Amino acid sequence: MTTIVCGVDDSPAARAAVRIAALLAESIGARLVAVHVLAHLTDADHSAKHVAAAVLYDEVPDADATARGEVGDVAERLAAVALDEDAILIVLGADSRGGRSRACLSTRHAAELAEMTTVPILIAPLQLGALDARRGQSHDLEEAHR
Amino acid sequence: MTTLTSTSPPPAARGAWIDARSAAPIIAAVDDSAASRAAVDDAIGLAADLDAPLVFVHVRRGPAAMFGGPVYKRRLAKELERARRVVERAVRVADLAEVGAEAEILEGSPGRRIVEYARDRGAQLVVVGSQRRRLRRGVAHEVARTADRPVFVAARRRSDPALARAA
Repeated sequence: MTTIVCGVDDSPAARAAVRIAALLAESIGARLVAVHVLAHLTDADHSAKHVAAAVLYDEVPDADATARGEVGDVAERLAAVALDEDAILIVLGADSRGGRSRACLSTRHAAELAEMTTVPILIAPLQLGALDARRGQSHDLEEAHR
Repeated sequence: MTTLTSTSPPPAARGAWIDARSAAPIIAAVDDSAASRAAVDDAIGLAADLDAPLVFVHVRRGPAAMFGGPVYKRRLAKELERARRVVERAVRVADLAEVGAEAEILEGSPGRRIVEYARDRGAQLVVVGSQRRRLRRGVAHEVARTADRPVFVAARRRSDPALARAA
């Protein structure tokens, strides 16, 4: 089964990215793996997995998705998970407000990640996730009207 | 016909985030690097699958103004020739894949100009290659950081010598 890997954290950009990744995964019947990477060893893998699971539960509760927690260098671990899962795409979030965006970390990771993997990377801007959320809401409204 | 490689996502995955926007072009940033060749291949595949217009963009920085007239002109001519070669090669690859493409040569800071151009053209997607930069951030990083639309960082080919070195 094909797999899409999505790097997640608690930021709005990452939450938008996981919605896009879920949409992509659903459209091609792929499995979504949401990965949260802790940069430092704190509560080890359990906490990281908990963060990924919480983001999935909040954003795409109905998706066929798996949460994974990793500890270490963010780009290196994402590349390793993509390889391990034989992913066809890695999705990351990017906040684009110009200048020194708050999501600079995400895009820095994307640049590092691109050097470590042969899997294509899709960087989804926050606006795209918001658009997807609005589409979902309007769909829900239509359903309610029916 | 597409020029997909095994590392590219399947067609449905590549088009799923976009609907009813096929008139919006895909902008692919190209230069003469190996990473750019991967971007050209992926951009052609994406354009074919999405039935979207494809525009190859090369941004040249322009010779430094400190050079005197004759040197400036010579360097400018050389830069323009290289830029033309880069975009012509990309368009030729697209032609071989039976995908229509146009090309633009811009001047300025590559990261900034690509994002501006994508915004001006209402692009649905920006495709970039990723190249290792030792002393400064790459164009892919700047585009990903500042673009207000999806950015597709092309998969590096296993034959890419930089990737082999990194491994």
